[in-house]
Amino acid sequence: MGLTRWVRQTSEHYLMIDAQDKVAAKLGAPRPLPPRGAEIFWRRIYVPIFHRLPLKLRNAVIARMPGSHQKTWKSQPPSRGPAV
Amino acid sequence: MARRIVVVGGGAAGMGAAGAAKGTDPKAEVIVFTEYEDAAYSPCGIPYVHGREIPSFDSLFMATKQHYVDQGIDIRYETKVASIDVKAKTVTTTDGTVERYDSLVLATGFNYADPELSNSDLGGVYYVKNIREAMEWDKVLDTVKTAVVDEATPLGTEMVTSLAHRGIETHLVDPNPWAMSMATDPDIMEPVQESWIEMGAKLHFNTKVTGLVGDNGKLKEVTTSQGTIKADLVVVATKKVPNVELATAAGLKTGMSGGLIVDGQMRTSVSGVFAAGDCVEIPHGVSNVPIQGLSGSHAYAQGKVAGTNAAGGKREYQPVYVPWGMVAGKWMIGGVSFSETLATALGMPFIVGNAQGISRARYYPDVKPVKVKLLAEPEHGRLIGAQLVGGEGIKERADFLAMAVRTGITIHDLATMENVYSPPIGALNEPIALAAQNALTKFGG
Repeated sequence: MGLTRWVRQTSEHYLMIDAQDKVAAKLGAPRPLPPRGAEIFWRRIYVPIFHRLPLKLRNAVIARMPGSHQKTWKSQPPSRGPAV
Repeated sequence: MARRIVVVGGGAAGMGAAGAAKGTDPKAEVIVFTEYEDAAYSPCGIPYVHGREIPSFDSLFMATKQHYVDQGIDIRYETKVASIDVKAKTVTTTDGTVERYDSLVLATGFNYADPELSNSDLGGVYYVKNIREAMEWDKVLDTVKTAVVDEATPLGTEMVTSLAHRGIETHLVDPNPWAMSMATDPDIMEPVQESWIEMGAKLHFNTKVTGLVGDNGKLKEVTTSQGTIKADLVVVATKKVPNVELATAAGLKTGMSGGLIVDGQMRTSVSGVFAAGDCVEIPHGVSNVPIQGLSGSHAYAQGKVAGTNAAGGKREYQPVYVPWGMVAGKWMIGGVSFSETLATALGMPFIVGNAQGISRARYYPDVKPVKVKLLAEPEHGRLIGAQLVGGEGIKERADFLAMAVRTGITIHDLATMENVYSPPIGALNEPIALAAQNALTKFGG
């Protein structure tokens, strides 16, 4: 597995667990298990740092990672004026 | 000389590509390689045959082999492509046959993520994929008393429902705190999970399958992080990962999700090579983050684009918003784009609107509840996600909401939407409008 894929997969995994914890606490649903071992680093240190970074910076980092999003994708132009 | 188009893979993307290529250039020679005995069937229907909602596997086949012969598409069944030479523009099969191509479409699909089970070579470990194997497993299911479904992915969710419906004692084991947590919120899944329990299923969340215990090669127990479960069968329904081994060996580039990098014309990083379906990654329309492991309808549409362009036509695919829906337990669930959980994970600001509505006039027979949850960005109120759970009308609402997200519709628009009112098919108050009106109270509108 390449580095960027590992970063994406690991980051996504722990961000999702943290989000499950927050949403479950808010909605009164069962929460994930508390972190153990190496999970402590990801959930208690990495996730809070990720969320403190400005959204623009996070988006800029993602934009630089290799992927289909760096290729040309043409969106349909919005319709203008009345249809008839 | 006729253009030669080779397609690797006979699933939705591959057959979509082959048909589109032939339609674009009828003189083209189109060859499809598939390692399986069949092409053009619906693997998505397999859980429903197991669940006895569909009486036979025969109805899952969409076309006969003769149909493709008549169309001039040369399908090489049970033939695996071993390597690709992108400089010579050839593919070589495992039996040593070399075929030249002018354009190549890769539609190699997915593999299940390695479940990392000890003793995984025991009998009774079922990966739902191939229809011929499913036919054999269906006979095995007649003898199964207890089954474990490993992970509540979309397939896992369908299999729990189907096996419980068939009367098999079914245990769902998932490492997350609720089912389908990658796409849903717990308030949406709560009625589904309650209905599974009513159907006799046993749910083990925050639990990981760790291994298998057998006797004489036969599965006896599944070990988990929370204890053991006696079982005759385990259905591995882990996450789909792109099958890109062949492509990467040929030098094609993959992106951060592990899928092949493609552009809007489904062109890969190598000239003359296109790709489609579960082996590629596509940017998400809201976040621009590339994602993979989408639905059969996405794969088919991507295959059409790849096949058209491989044959010299011009067609564009779009970033995806991922409408989804399914039957889960006694309910239908669906949605599009972001759940509250996913938006929270990405640190996206949002407001939520909830509504509990009904599918028909309140007095009409068989009226069903419809719960709608909308997410909108707080600055302009643009819709960024939705989830639904109800008794009917979920798929149509998910499709509509996907177009709403894609076209930038706001909760202001949805709160004042016009809706069909006819007692047998629609209530006076549309649940989507009610949810948008609820969101507006938080928006200050």
